[in-house]
Amino acid sequence: MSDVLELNRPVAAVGVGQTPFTSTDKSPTYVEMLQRSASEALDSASLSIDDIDAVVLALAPEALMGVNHAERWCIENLGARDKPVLRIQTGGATGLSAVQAGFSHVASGLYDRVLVVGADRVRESGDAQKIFNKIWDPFYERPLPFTTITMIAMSAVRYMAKYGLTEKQMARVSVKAHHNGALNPNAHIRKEVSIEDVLDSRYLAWPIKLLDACPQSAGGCAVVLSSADAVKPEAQSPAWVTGISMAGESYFIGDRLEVSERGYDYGDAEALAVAAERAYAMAGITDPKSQIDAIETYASFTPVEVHNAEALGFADLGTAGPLFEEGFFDLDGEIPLNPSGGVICTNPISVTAMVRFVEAVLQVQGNAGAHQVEGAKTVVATGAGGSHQFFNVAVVTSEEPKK
Amino acid sequence: MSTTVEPLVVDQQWDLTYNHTADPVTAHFLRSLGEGKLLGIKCPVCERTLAPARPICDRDFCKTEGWVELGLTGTLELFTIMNLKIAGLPEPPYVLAYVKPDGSDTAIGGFLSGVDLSSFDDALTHLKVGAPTEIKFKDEREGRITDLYFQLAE
Repeated sequence: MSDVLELNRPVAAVGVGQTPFTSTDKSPTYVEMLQRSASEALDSASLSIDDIDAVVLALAPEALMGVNHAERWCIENLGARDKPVLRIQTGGATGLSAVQAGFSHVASGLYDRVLVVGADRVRESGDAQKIFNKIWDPFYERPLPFTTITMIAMSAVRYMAKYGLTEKQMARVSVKAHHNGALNPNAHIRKEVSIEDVLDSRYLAWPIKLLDACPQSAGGCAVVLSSADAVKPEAQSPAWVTGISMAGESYFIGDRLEVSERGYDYGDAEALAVAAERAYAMAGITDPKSQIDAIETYASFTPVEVHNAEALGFADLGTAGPLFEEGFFDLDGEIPLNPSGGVICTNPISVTAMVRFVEAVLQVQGNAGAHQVEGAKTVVATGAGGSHQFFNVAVVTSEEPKK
Repeated sequence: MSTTVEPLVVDQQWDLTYNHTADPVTAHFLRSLGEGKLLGIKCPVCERTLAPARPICDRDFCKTEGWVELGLTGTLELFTIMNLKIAGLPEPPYVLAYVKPDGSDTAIGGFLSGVDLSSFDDALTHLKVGAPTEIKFKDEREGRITDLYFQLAE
């Protein structure tokens, strides 16, 4: 398999949209949120739905939505009748997988402009964690009460045992996330917390505490992707997608305990490192620390931010915990990590990874407002789905690639 | 406008039944558990022993073949103390763990019992990644993965 894709047809994000994220009981319906975020993305691109060649939908699994085949009722509500439609679902990675599908549509030359859009209402069902238990196979895992919380708690336990990460270092990640989220008008949780608040919050699954964990959010998100030739001059400054990649881990968690050649195991995020290497190679990034200005990474729990920072090349394996304590990843630090507040403050699962991408676009456009990273030119966005299993990485930059 | 309109909410329940069929390798592994035997299966290419057994090696994309009976001691590889009540799942707290049986290259998930959870701090003086662990069979077995549970070795 070739590791580096030669990109002959540059792709730009020319419009982005997102709704404010809230709890589900305060949120509009799926279709209203699709419409709002799609309209905002089209407006910011100075385009209408008639200018769009194809639509890619990021939607939750059936059991979470409570509707089978929900892409059906997304067509007329977006004005997308007669347009080609693709629905993408890779768990938490869905939002960035949908962007990758839209990217492929444009990069291949099949379409010039693609609308990627999704919405989620995670508490549409009050039984979300019970539904997440159904991601495990019915014979070997599902008879046990595994959830997305226990899956990350066990990864964190492994990481702590290997490298000595402390609960206080995890709390520092949460303090940073909540500080940034308070600056982001679209974040679901907009409240500062202290180290003590985090350490005093109740355990969900040791070592994960309530304030180490993401909320269950509702909201919509959209991106308009365009070929270079189809970028309208009146659009917001285009954000070029110079690298995009995905990698998947083996299915069973029990198969991921052997230390790999890279030195990774289930305590780390090896498939994220693989996806990052591919996306960086595609984007010509050889030294992430000097070439990347900020990171928007999918981390639904605080210890995930720690091992993601390492997998993305911003710290050596096992060393990121103290860096969070030193402020290295703060909004005014060396490499701001999740300047938007990240997933700890906002988790509308099926669009969460698209929000990472949209936030990266806003950063390189200089449109991120109070959580703007000064001078950000190149930003990385990541997604994660399945049982700590599917990882995608996108590199977004303000500089137009040479053809 | 939407903030002033009382939401109209419709409750729906899904009551669905599924009949999942195990492949022959999984079926043999589970039926052997019912007989009080823990088996692994070999990959002919990477020569790893996989437990629980499955028909395809995840690394080599080839059929597994050759059953081996595993001992009932192993190593605690992963654990957590679940402390959150979730509708339809057991009453917390309880310990979930992955244990790698001696002679296997992969780990099996299960409940770990026998640790007093009235204080997490005390429990965590015993629960350690790498701790020697015993793999136990329930007295009443039904050919399911939950026929197994784990205990820290004395």
